[in-house]
Amino acid sequence: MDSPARPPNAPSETSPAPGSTGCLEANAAVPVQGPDDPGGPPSRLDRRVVQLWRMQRLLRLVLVVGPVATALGVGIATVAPATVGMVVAALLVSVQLLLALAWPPLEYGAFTYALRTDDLLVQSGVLFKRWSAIPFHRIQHVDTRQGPMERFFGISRLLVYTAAGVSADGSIPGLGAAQAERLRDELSRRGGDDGV
Amino acid sequence: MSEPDGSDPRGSADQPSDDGWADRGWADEVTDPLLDDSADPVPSPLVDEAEPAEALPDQPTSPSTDGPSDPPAVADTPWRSLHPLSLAVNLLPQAWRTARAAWPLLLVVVFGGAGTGLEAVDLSLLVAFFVLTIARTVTHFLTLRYRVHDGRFEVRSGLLNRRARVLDPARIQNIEAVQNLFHKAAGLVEVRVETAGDASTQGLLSALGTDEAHQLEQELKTLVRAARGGSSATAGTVTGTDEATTEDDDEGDVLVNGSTLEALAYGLSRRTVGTVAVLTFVGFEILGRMGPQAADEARWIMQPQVFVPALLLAFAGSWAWSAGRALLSHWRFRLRRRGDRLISEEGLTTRRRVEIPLEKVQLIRVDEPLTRRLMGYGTVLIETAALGFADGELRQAEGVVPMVAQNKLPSLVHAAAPRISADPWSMELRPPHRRALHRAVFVRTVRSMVLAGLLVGFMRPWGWAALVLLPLAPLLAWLDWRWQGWAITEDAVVTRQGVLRRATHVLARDKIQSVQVLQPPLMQLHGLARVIVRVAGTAVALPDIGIDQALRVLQELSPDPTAMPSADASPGARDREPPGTHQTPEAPAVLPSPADAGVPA
Repeated sequence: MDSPARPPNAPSETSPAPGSTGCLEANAAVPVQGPDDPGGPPSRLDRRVVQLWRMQRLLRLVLVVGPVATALGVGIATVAPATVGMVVAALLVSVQLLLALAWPPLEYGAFTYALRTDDLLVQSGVLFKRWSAIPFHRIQHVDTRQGPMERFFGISRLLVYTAAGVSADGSIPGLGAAQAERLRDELSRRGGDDGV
Repeated sequence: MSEPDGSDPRGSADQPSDDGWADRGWADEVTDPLLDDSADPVPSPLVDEAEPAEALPDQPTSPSTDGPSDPPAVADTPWRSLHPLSLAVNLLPQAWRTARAAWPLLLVVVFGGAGTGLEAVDLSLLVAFFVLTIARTVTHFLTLRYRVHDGRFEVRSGLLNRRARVLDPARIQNIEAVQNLFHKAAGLVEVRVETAGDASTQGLLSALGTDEAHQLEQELKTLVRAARGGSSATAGTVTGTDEATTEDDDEGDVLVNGSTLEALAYGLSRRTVGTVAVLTFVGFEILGRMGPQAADEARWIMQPQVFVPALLLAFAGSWAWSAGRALLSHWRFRLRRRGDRLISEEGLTTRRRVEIPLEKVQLIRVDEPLTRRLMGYGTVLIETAALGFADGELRQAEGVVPMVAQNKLPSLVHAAAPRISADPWSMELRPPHRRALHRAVFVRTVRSMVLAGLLVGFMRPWGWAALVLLPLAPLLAWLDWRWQGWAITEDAVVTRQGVLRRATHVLARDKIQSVQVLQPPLMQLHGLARVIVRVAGTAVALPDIGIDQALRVLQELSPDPTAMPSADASPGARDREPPGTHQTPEAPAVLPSPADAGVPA
């Protein structure tokens, strides 16, 4: 790909439409499906993961945010009128509650993955969007993991390992257990590390 | 802990039906008196120190008597252990490292105000640290075993926390041989065998006799070559010695020969603000702990005629310190290329030799901080997968070439990565997006405002001088933006960033592990995105570019560039990029072609 000759720092492109988010449907710059790609259209997570996430957030609310808000309220109450402390604490808790109920569906909607000809493309994120492309031949191994809550909902998490580590490189958090196994086997079949 | 019949219940519970573990000599442990912890979990020093004396004449075979549980079939290679002098050689550096790590505690103990009563606690903490370190060193020395068996390199160590590692030679990224003063005095050497994703082999094989180390290296190299299908060699034997002698005679091409002056200049150009800040902080702490009459002295120190010279002295001191350390580390630096390997050697008190196979080179980074650039030099870091995120102060990066003349940089980069034909200094790099400038200015201004605010608030009347930072921030941001660039060629990804500290990254496209595009909320507002290209061990971020372009880059770097799209369908965006040369006439039907999208060409 040769760059056209131009003075060093002239702007190279017009400003994109402000707020262009480049989500998978609206942006065809990334072909999610090539002509001979197996597997059909880009896939979404299992719907049950919404409940799982809600549950996890509520748990976090009860175990972490609640005590923190209480402590904060009490702390504020020592220097300001008690009502201020209570209001702050209540605000914190209610915001978290709102997020716990409303955020998971948004995250669910924003998460898609696709098995393309030569790589796995994962798109995720509502506020912090991210696209990850992992070539199949770079996959060292694939793990499925299930915590206790995930087991309750029948969901697994798929972790794709490359030589560059795991975390950011393709973690698909909410697949049905059977679907996860199938995807894992498929990726292992297509993957195969060619060394580093 | 052990059953009467000699089997280790813990072992059998952990590895229920895996015979491979028995083959690897786990069974040996049970009868190995050094590792038999049936008596008590913490071995008494008297019992254990008696053992090495027996082990001496048995070098390098395993000091334990092989029990009845001999593994079947494969001829078992005996385990080797560290050289008996290693304990002495390791204790001092370890103690020094502990002291260095616990320096706040040391300071407190030494300078602590009298009569607080807490000094006993501090002291006992300090003693506890040292005792732990010594215990760890002793345990490591006693329990470490290694061998080359059945085509693999195996190491195990540990008493309470047992560690065993089995290494496929093909995964070896580099082999280092390190010799500090103590090693040299005792005729020993430490060998570090490094693999992808694990930078923790420091101190593992410390120390071996030079013959043993050489033998190990040869065996590993033989295996590596055999694994790559090169010369025929039987694993584990030492037929490599003949090759080794001829290889050692062949010096290879010397790429860089560092002079003393260059080493000194390197040390002088290192960042020293951090050290000065630490020293200042420590100074204040010490002052704070002195008695009331010292408060008057403190006020005396804060006067300009005392403070400024003191600060200058601190700077000069830290510069001298940095220069001295650089001189020690990079003494007689030499980089040469021998066949398919890069070999670097350096060091005065500690001599390090690093061998990096060319095919393991992941990324080449060239650092040109302002001072070094003005001198006409740059620093080249050759990163393999074995390199973690190395902080230059704590752990030196593998394959660091401290001073390279600027006109030699392109040829060195090419020598270290022969597959890459790009020359970052002469090629045209694409700029970041214009909006990235706005964002950078914003971020820098905010940051400098915060810093200035802190300084003004806490260090008046001096702090007002910090206001000079404010107009500097947008200027620096603009300069930075102007000098950023990126490019993707057929075989490489090149980025350049920074003005004060210019960093150029060159990585081969066939080393790419994965590519990511990130768009945090603020960048979404601006329509920008950040592309992160990951290789084994590290990652490179491109300068901020438009989201559409970022997604195109994502596509471009995928293994199948024939699927490259033609244009973005969103309204208002113009296709500035000519269609890629890879694009086949029959573009995938899924995508709109430029004509269909009604986008002006």
